[in-house]
Amino acid sequence: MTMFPVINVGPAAIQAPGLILMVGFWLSLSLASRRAKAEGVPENAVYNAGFVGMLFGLIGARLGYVAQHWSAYQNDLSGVLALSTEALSTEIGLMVGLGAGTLYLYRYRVSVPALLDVLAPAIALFLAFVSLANLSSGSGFGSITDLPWAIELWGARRHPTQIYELLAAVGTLAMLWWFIRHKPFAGFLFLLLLLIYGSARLFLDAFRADPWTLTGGFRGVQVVSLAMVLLSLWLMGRHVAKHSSV
Amino acid sequence: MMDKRYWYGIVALAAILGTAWMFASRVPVPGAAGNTTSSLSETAPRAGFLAPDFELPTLDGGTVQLSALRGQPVLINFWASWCGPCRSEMPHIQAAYENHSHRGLVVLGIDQMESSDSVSRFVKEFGLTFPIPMDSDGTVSAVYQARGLPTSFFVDPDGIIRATFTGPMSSGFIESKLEEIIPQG
Repeated sequence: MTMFPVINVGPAAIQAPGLILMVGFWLSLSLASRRAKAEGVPENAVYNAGFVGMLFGLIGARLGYVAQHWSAYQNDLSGVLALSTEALSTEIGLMVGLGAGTLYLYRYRVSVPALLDVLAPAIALFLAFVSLANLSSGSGFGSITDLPWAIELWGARRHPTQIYELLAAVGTLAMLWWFIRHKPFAGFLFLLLLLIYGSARLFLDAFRADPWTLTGGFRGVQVVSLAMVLLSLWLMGRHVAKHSSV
Repeated sequence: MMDKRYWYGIVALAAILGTAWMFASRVPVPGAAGNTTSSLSETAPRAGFLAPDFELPTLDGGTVQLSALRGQPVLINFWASWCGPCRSEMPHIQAAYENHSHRGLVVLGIDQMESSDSVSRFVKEFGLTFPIPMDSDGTVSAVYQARGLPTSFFVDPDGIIRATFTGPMSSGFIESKLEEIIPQG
């Protein structure tokens, strides 16, 4: 299978995964914004929080990378301002971006369960685009297999983990979409996202060949996914118990 | 209506099944703590894999074989003289080579399908002193899937690719990636 990490348009080389992620971010933000109205969350608040989060996330990702590699930058700080996708710390960018977006929303006094329900389908949609970006770049590749649906990638026939994860995200989105009109309580959509997508990743990450590995050979994504599933079930159970005892 | 015990039973069952699955699908690599990766015996133009071997003639009339450089950190950079971003990053690569060649760093600036005359002019213009392998028919570029220029691969002394990047690199970024492949001390 041929991956297309770069699309050549004349002399310009466009990074396909970055482009896919940008489109995914914009569509997800549009979806969240559309749903905000229905949940009683100010539409502008979601859009603005998305852009504030992205801006601060990018700044945080670059500064985080520079801080992590200070000895490489201390003699020439011009690279800190380089307008390229190099030198970004994803984890620090995510933390700063989420923090900035959350702080921005705080001023609107938005109900947290309502906000999480607004974000849940948008997050599932964005996760689908992350899988497409991985499919484009060949990242997140699977372990070697001789199953008939294996794809040729990086010199071997492998589990198409990017496609598994894409199906998981699309399936989660479809399920959430159905429950939009049938949700039993505020915050349910977000808990359902944690439950379905968490279960899927807990199962599917076993087929990844590039895992984030913890001590003892445990896969980090599976640990996080199981925590998501248990948290979701526990909070759903609390809600059910509260209402059944009334 | 379902009661509390029923739900806590579900949570407990999920915890047991999830933990069992995590245990069954652990990464079977000794000393697996850390971040990434795949089997280091597989060859592919990607971080975590063994760098594909190649042998190419160089601009100065010699030849260079990647596998012969095992034991040294190598920066492989695919470029062409018509490529603007290649021009912007080349001074940084030359500076990195000058700063780290005494620590064993090898830079291979692989030109993609150009005549010796164009390449010579470029090398003279930027004062490049590292080897310039000539990928005249694009075979090595195809193996490394270098579709966009410039594309760089940071290869450690064991021949494993530790990082790749497509696009112009700043000096700070080059230095940060060289830290990962040049042995300390």
